[in-house]
Amino acid sequence: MKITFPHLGDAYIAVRLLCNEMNVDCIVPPLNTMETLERGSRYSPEEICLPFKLMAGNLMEGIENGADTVVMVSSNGPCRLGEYGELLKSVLDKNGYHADWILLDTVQAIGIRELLKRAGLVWGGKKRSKLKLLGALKGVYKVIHSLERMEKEIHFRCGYEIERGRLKAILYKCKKDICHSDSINDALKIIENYSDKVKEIPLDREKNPVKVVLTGEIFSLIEPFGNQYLEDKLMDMGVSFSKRITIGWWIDTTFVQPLKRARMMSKKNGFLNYCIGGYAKDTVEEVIEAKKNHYDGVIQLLPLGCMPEIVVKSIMPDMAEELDIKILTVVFDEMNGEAGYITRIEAFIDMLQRRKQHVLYGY
Amino acid sequence: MYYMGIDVGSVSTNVVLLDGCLEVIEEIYLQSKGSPIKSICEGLEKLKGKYDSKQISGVGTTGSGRNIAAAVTGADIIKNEITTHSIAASYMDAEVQTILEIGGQDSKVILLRNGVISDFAMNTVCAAGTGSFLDRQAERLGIAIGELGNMALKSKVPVRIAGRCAVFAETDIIHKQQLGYEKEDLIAGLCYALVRNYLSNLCKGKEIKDKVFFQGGVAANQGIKKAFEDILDKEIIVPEHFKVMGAIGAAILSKEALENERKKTMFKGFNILKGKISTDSFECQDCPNHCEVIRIYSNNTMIGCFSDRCGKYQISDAKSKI
Repeated sequence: MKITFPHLGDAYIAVRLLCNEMNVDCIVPPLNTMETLERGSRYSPEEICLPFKLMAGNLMEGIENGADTVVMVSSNGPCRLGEYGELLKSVLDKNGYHADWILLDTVQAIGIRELLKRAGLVWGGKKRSKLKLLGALKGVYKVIHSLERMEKEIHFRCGYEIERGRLKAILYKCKKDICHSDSINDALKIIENYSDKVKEIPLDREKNPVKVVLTGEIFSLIEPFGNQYLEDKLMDMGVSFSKRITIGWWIDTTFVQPLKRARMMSKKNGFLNYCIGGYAKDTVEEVIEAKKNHYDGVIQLLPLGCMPEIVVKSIMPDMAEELDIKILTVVFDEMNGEAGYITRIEAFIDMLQRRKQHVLYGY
Repeated sequence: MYYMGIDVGSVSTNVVLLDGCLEVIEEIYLQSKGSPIKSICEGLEKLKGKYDSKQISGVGTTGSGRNIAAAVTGADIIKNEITTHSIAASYMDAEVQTILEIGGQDSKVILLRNGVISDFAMNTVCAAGTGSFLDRQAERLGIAIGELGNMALKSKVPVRIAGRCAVFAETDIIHKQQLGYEKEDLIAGLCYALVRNYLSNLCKGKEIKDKVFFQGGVAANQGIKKAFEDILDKEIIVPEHFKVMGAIGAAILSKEALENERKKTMFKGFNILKGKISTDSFECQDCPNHCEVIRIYSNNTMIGCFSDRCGKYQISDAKSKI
């Protein structure tokens, strides 16, 4: 049995390590490119969101490369992503891409027993040591979190860098090295090593860079192709930014501490009091947080046709006025040209920069 | 002491020259015709006879072709068109609070408060109501584009035209034409449709405050200006150099940047025109990203490279220092 899975940012790094550790054959589909998107859109419904098309493309490539089982996680049912698994299966089946499907849904949706049963299928009926599995899961969890910790540190330090581009280069080199490592321990060592290097990069602490928060739809935030490599661009521009929604955050809120999230979701915030699906309420709350933490602006990302985020988009003007914070909404679509969106991002950052100077010099 | 601003847009390439007091002394407006490098050279060619390379103390580029223009000329700053348009407008008149800008293929609204941008919007998915569309309609009706505005002013009863989508607007114009409406009324109707489309696409939820500047190539069209005035019920000011405001902003910014950092210009001089400038593009196969890399050469030495995500084709890079 060979498994494959759709891409979601750096998740493939962790999945590959986990499969290696547990001796499961896994086929990592090629990273997202325009070709993936073109292949995926050929068979997808025209008006489905962008992540679906990319995922379909990934799975087609995975199956072509010899995989016979698809493993997918799904969560937060009220948004379309929750039904992706079933729809993808139907779409791929109809077009001659046959595979077995293992859908890992949340405990709330299918119960713990069913989840464990499905997860067990990944081993293909063979007995594996539970202790080893627990160890591997813990290790991978650690890899994800330490990589993200380093990434966050880099994103923040980027604005203060004296020689622009060095931090970004470290990040990419680190990810590349992890891809070539064989075990979880090696990967952890690599991350530790590079984290030390990050601290050595000289910073100019006198600088006062523009600080923004990235928020919005989860796939667009995590998958760099889904946001046309926005993070790279911000790093190149010397912007300090932070983003809360990452794979580690998702694992924590979905599997590790689902109760904490439920409690958070029941809190009212004055702008959007109820969960309307997807991560809409989170987006709203992040704008409020951004204001509290003195960020200069917020960039909201969403793929065309994302219902929850569109609702948030319509709340944004009110939030911008009431909280006095600048918000830019960027919508990504397969038909979009790059030029217009770069102009928008640049203009937004320029605007924040000039406003900052304006306040500083007081004229 | 002259500062040069170059705005390479989708339809036109504009070059301006400002003197030390930031007064416009040269203003060149050229059609890009799909080859920006050629039109940049053409613009510089016109300045070459009158000015010496040493007199140029700063260069700024803007517009969608700003990176190419910067690589060719050696610009000191590269800025997006939203920033440059607002800089130029607030320099011309410090009281400007709203800028309506309609160019060849994109339209923007910029809100300024106390001379600083406070909000902006740019057309995303639709180019209905921009210069290219007007160009096409003028051609179809057999009128020179310069005449369009004046004809619209003659209309007494503007025809209502569906302006949501450029293609359907054309369909609607053809239909109304076949019904026998006057050309003047059709054109005036078109102007109103475009303005309505612009306002509902870009200005929803935005407060349009006086003074309102209308700039970009389409501002030449009196019909559109009148339609804005009627619908917004405000006075619309078309600044003197409305066509080249982006380039003026870029020139101002180049002066500002060079003075702040106390640097000398990187302008390569008018001599670049002597060399042959060529480009090549290829799809890099080194990683799954498959970037379509474009390189610009001047006399067979590379002067610029774009669209490589990892940056390995760039001339100088920081990654070798790790």
